[in-house]
Amino acid sequence: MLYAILAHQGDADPTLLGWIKDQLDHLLGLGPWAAVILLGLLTLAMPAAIVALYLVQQRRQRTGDRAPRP
Amino acid sequence: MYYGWYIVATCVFIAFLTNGARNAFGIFVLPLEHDFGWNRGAISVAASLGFLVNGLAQPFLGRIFDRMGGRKVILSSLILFGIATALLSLTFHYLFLVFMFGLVSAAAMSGSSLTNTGALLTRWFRRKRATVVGLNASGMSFGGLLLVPFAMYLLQATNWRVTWAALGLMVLVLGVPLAWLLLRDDPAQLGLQPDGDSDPATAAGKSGGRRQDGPYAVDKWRDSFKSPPIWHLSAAYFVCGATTGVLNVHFVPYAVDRGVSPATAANIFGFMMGLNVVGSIAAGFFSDKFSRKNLLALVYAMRGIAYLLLLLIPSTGGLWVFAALAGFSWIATAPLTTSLTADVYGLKALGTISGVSFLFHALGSFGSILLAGFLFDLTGSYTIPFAVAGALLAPAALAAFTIKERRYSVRYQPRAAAAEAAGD
Repeated sequence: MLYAILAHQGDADPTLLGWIKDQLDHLLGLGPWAAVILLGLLTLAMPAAIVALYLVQQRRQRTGDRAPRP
Repeated sequence: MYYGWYIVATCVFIAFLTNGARNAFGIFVLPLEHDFGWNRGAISVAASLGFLVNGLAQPFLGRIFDRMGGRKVILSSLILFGIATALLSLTFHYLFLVFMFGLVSAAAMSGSSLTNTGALLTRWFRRKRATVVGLNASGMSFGGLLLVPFAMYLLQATNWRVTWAALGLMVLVLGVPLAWLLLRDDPAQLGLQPDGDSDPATAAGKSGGRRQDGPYAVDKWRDSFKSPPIWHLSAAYFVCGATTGVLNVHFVPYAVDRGVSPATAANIFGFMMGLNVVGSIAAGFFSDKFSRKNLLALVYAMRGIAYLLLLLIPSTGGLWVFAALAGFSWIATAPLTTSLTADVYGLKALGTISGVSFLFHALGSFGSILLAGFLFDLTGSYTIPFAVAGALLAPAALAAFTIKERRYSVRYQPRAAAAEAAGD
């Protein structure tokens, strides 16, 4: 019974996933490895940018704290 | 820059990673079928069980969130989620897949879900509360748009085992350190005020002299369910789950049934998914300026009109009109519901209250998908299930519209009245 109920639910639509890939193939025109590297770098760039911004701000704050006050 | 924005960025990235890794499940169906000889229905059981477990686990993880703080819950859930995803690469038996994807990964995902990250963000922001929760919700869509194609290409270049291991490692290597470095439970831990205000007096002044809690603010989650607003919100959220769940699974087959090619159906669905990013961010932004409950009612009404037009306009144009209207409203309810719940009930039990409310959403979704499948088998058409879904949106809009936000929300409580009520 539970099996029948659960099997009625859907996972991510294969037609939609195929469409996304077709669009990207059309847009990028790259081989699979090149696309992996490109999308992987984009993903990596997100946390890298957040951490870089945080570290820059921390450094500025420390420099500001050390600067003599008039 | 106010530290709260780092919390927002981290939560968006967590939503991006976890939803991307979970939603990529669809690409593993064919290779699993091929390697193990399992049929698609059997593989779908793992995904569906995960969906159910995710909804059922939310209140419990919300409770842990309220007791232990967001950082510990989100961080430990993220670690478990990453390990479970990586371990899926070792799948050797059907029960292993069901256990790891349907139970462990799904329960772990509940801990780092929008419910908990949304509750965390409401501690850091008061005036821009819905804006940041809306931004957070958009991370889900970005995960589907970027990480799912990443997994597709990696699968094409390697195999499903490497792809699952890579997704798990991404969570462990990118998500966990970022969360460990930046997530904090509360602005007070860093000596800050919500929204980055310089001191409590300034914060009160900028928010129009409002007090910190509304009249229905609760310490225990059960108390919230003794008052009307949470029932209005949860009932509407049930309909939200029902009307989005049925679309997720049945929209493309419905469009194909209407004579549209699968590629066009997917185009329309993709267009709708893209619009939900805009809808979520816009709903959050505008609800920080105007009444949240009116906007929530508008979102439900808009989705109801979309369903009505879908049934009334028989051409492909009807599908596009539907996609435009439904796309805007798809996840726009999340920031509005979360922020309104926080405004009315305060922050002390918000994780649990939001978790219980989300359970209504999950049950609505689960039930509607089943009912739509059943009605399709019975009538040979999606017209009745879609008409039922559309009809449910009218009472949902009414439920949202009749919330007495001005009376119960902290946004409309003057500080002077609070002091008077407290007798000081």
